[in-house]
Amino acid sequence: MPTSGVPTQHDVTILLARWSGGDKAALDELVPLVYVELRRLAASYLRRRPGPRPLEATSLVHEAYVQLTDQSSITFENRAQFFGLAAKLMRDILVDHARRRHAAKRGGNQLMLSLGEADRVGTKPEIDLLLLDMALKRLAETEAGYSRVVELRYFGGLTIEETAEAMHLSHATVERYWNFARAWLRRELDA
Amino acid sequence: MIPPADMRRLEQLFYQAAQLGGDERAAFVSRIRESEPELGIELEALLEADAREGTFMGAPVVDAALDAIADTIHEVQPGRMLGRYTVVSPIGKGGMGEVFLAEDSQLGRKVALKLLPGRFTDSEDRLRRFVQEAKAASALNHPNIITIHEIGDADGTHFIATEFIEGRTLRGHLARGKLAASEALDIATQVAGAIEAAHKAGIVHRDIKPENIMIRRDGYAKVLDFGLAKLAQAQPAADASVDSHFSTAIMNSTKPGMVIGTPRYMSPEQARGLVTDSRTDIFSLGVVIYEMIAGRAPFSGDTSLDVAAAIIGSEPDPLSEVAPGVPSGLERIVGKAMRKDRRDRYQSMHELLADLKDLRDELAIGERREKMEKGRIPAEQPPSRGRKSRMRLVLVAVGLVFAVSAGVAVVLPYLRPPAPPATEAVAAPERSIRYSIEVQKYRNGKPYLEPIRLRDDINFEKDYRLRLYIGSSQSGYLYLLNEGPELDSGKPSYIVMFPTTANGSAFLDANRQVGIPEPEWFQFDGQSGTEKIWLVWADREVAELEALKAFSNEKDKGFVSDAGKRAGVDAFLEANTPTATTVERNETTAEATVRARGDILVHIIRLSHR
Repeated sequence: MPTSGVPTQHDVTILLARWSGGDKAALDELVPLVYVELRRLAASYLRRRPGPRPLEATSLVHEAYVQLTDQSSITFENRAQFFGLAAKLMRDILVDHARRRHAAKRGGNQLMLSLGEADRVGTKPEIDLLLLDMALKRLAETEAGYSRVVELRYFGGLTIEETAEAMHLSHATVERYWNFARAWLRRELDA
Repeated sequence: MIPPADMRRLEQLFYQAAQLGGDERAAFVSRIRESEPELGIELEALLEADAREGTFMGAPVVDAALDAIADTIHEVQPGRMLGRYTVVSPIGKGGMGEVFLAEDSQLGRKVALKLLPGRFTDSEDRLRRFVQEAKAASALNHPNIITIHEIGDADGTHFIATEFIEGRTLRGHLARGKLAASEALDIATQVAGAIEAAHKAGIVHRDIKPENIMIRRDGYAKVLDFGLAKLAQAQPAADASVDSHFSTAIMNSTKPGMVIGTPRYMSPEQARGLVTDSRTDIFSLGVVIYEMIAGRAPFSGDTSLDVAAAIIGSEPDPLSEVAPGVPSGLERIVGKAMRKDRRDRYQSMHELLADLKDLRDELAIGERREKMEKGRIPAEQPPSRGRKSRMRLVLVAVGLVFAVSAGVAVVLPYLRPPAPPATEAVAAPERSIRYSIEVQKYRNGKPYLEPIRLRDDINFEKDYRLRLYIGSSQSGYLYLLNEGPELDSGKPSYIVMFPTTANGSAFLDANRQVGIPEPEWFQFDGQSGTEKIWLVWADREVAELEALKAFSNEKDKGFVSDAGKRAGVDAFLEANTPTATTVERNETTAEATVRARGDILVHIIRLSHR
């Protein structure tokens, strides 16, 4: 089992390089590291700022990137890989959570909201993440690029610029894909 | 579903329309509706959705993510109780859920707690079948199958509590590189043994891969997650996607056109979505063995589908090419396990296991012969197999019936640090005793591994048996006593471990190693505690200890029942314990050497177990 020690920046940077070199096992090692870091950041974030939070553009993914990688030796290519991976993990985390809540509701387990949580409810997006996830899967079946832009932008919190970097696409193309995917999803979700 | 080409066309039209102002746009749309009616309707709907009031995905989902993560953190942060388990720390996360180290508050032991993702537990029916299967596998009580303590749920979270294994997954083990053939064979044999036992009970694993095999620090393998593959596989229709039958795939599309999952260990029939039987495990184990030897999996590809296609249609590089020098027998075994058509494979895990064992024995014999020829083994330290005949000189008889009830319970052998010398016997000659402890793992009365020499901590189980090997560079007399139950007086009682019979001699020739008991083993009584063993070497017969030989018979089973004789031993040990000793451990041979000056050397071995 992996040890519970904190991974060094060096580890993650090396793993990214190994992964881009075609070593698939490196990915298996990366996933838990990134996953744990995302959760750790979220937890410390919440501790710092209890109660209502403003919607912030700063994404967890960015913070995780800075925390986990050795900025002096990471390549452009590996940076893009990292964002892709982290955005996918964020999507997994969110969708899994939505699914659990969904299951809990069906089982009649009403979640008791504490005051702090109740405050936060108002800032929650009105999007049903389960439906969004399914719609994204359908979208990916026709053109993976469209859904990937959404994943990076919406789940990963990347800007148009960064998404373009991560996908090796032009700024204009990403913007086009984003506008289209958003309209398509909105129609699918009837939101 | 819209065909991809149409989707791209739709995107183009959407983009063009977006550039236009109100009237022009309306005209554009109606032109399209005439020339391409279906796309025109779609386009109109998209434009309508886009023009709706309010924002849609206006900001990243960070805030919701914080909530989501907060919730899960809330659920399982350290200190959190789930049933009777207290979560200690996260261990890892896989496609099958998160795993935590936890403590069983009732039994005070460590457990590994795996939380099942909600999507696996939606269907009660499926969950019930999983519980049945996982428990059945655990109930086989096979040493290479992880023991499940409990499958339960607390506050809506389903969990599996299993024994906690100190070690790492085979995946982690392989991260350092490929394995030597002998180690790969050893692991493969253990895993095959576990799966064979499960197959006999009608349980197919279906997800044999390095992530599901734990390698304990003492080198022993445990197979995890019986029954889980099926549970994860049958996901609700809502989750259906290209990847849904890759039960362990955890992600996809991290790069355009790149799908990453771990279908690498699937059998062809599994990859094709056909009905599987026990032969699917044979294929998967073949893949795992290949990877242990080659350092990489036999089938690869950029996407899960490519890998699946390779599994179905292409032959892997020959093992002898990827790993030159691999025993040909091993290549043959792997080849036969990985036949595409399951009818051409080993038909049962039993056959595969038999071949693995034969090869392992063959290689071991070859290795020993090689060493002997090279004269690497010094005469005074014969290998354990060659020792028995010499020992007859020392052990006149080897009944050792008492050992069973002597109850030597052992784990972490640790040598008590030498006490400061009370008096400096400078003039006395230096004496030394070497000893080591060999352990044979048993289950249900049968040995299942070669005996091992204790080097490091080992988790003992009550079925394990042990034997001590003791030798000295000088001729002398050896006595071994084990602390028995405490007496009313508060003093310990004694159990004689050596000599083993009433007529047995305590004399030990210089450089002779005696196995105690040989060829028997001491057996553990299953109770926890610390065993205290006095090892006494003297240059002459010790009258107080010779007197104890009378109890080495079938009736007394070594237990010293005579109060006067016990008092004699008390006095003797008190006078001579501790002698000023130094202890050295040789990590390679797992031998400890105790040195002291004087004619009598007393050393205490403490063996504790949880």
